[in-house]
Parts: sequence; structure tokens; C-alpha cells
Amino acid sequence: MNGLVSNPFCTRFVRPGAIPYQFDSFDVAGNPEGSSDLAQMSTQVSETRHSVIVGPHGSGKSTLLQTLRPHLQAAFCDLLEVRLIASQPQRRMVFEASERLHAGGLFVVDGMEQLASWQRVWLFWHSIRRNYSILATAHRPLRGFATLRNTALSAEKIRQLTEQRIAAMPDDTKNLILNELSKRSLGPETNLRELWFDLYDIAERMIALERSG
Amino acid sequence: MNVSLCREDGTYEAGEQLKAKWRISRVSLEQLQGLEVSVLWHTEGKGDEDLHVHHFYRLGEAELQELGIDDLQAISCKLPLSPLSYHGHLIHLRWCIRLRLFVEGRREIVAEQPFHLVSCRGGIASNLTHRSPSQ
Repeated sequence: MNGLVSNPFCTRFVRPGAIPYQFDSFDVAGNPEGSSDLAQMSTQVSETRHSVIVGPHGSGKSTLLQTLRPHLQAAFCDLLEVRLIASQPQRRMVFEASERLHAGGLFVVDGMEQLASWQRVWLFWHSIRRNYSILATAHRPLRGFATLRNTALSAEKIRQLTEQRIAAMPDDTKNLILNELSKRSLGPETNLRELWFDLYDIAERMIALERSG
Repeated sequence: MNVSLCREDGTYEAGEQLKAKWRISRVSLEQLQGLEVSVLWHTEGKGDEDLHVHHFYRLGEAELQELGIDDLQAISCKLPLSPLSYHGHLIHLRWCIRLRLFVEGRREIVAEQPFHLVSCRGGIASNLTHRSPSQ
């Protein structure tokens, strides 16, 4: 049927959590080794009252959170999550949620850098008073928080993840995309989400050409 | 799991009856815990996604045991007048039949069969390949 090929870079496939977080040496999905790595990280979060996943924009922090979630749900009696984004920080939500959390629970704050420093300090002391843990994501390490993982991507990892995305595409589309990648300067500061946003256009043009025959 | 449509080209006119068959394979009857059958549309592209379920039913463990896995099962529903399938550069609107099978061990298997919803079958080409001049 015409028109049924999906663009491998559309939001459906690349939004945070759509692809399981991939560690350097193995694929988490379906791999017991990857699962044990996640379990280990979850234990670390339980043992360290305040932890943070550090990495630049679009490097997989939220994806790692999503992949970790089932392990965290099993490890904590209560789990609340807020996601702060620059355009809609909704800081009040953070304070309201922290009041609802039970002692011994885990408060996940995705995008901690959106909070002002005094708000971070307030949250830090509030968690100690109320006896709950915090797992945050941020662009830089946070004072008082143990860094659980740095998600910055190497050029090789970016190429590998992109190749996985286009594996089912025709060879000419693959070649165009790989050629585009080779022209880009890739490294730890690359925003993978934005890069894939650009590659969407190339893939879409090729899909349209295929569709029109 | 597989789903097959009653039409080879997978194209249906708005307001028409959709008929399809499904069958579970490669899973033993004892492992089945539930099945959800949906006829839905969803958008995909560069921006936010949207989804609407047009027709839905769920079969529990007992019902699945009773149906068995040997025979083809039927799905049928009247399709709405809109939204029609659409394929643009930034957004696509896709219709599909989605089967979500829940099996032992909290595992979930999903199968999808896409189809096109068009205003009239004679106008399929223009419906499906409409693009703006800049694209």
C-alpha cells in the first residue's frame, strides 16, 4: 500500500522514552546484562538520597529516566515525577508535588536547571525534612547531588543510534542520511533530538519520492 | 499475530464498513491474558502527536480461551466520514487496526494493520499524495 512507510525520525519514534536508553557496551532492550545495569542504577538512587543524571540537551536524560522507571517503581514505595521545560517551567507544580510525596518515596524532577538556585536549595532541605529521595536531570552536576550518569554522546554513538533508526530504509535514503551525518560536527555537545529533527526532512523527501513512484 | 483486511489495496471510503480478520499465532493458548482490538487514527510527523480510538473492544482471558487460537476472528465497524488519511511533509494522518495482546509475564505484543480512509475511491491518488508546491 502506498503512503504507509513511517519516517524513522518522526516524534512517535524519537520522543523521550520511545527508544530504550542504550548503554555503551550493550543494548538494554531484552538484554539481561542491561537490566542488571539498570537495577544497579536503581539501587544507587535508593542508597544516595540525592542523585542527578547529567547531560546536554537531547542526549537521552529523559529517555534514561523512562527506561529506569519500572526499576524505580519497584524500589520505592511512592514515586512522583515532574517534567520542567523552558517554555512552561510550572515551578509551582514542583512544590505542590513535593508536598504530596510520602516519606521514603522518590521525587523525579526532569529538568532541574529550570528551578532557581533558591528553589533547588528549598527542595533539597524539604526532601531531608520529609524523608524522600530526589532523582533529577540537569545539564550540569548539581551541588549536593551524586551524579548517577553522564549521558553525553560520542560521535560514534550518535552514528550508531542513527544507523539503528534508518536500518529499514532503502539504501539510497540511508546513504543520503549517512552523507549528511558525515558533514556534521558530532560530539558530546550535539543535540541528538535536533539532529534527528533535521534528518526527518531528508527522510521525508525520500519517502515522498518513493510514494510518487 | 496477524491482521488482514477485506480489501487488497487497504482503501476504504468514508462511512463504509471496515471488515478484517485477525489470528493469534506463535503464542500458546495458556499464555494469553487479554486482547484489545482498536480501530484508530493517529498523527505522526515532526510535532506533537494526536490519536483517537474509533472502535474498541477487549477480550478477557476466559473469552480468549473460549475462542481459541485456531480460527480467524472477525472485526467489523462502520468507518466515520472524517478525518481522512493524509500524507503531508510535516504531518501524516494514519488509520490502522491495532491489536494489543497481553501475555504471561506482563508482556505485551502489538500488531498493526494500516489502511487508508478516503473520500471516494476514485480520488485515492489525490487524497494520498497531496503536497504543497514547495514540497
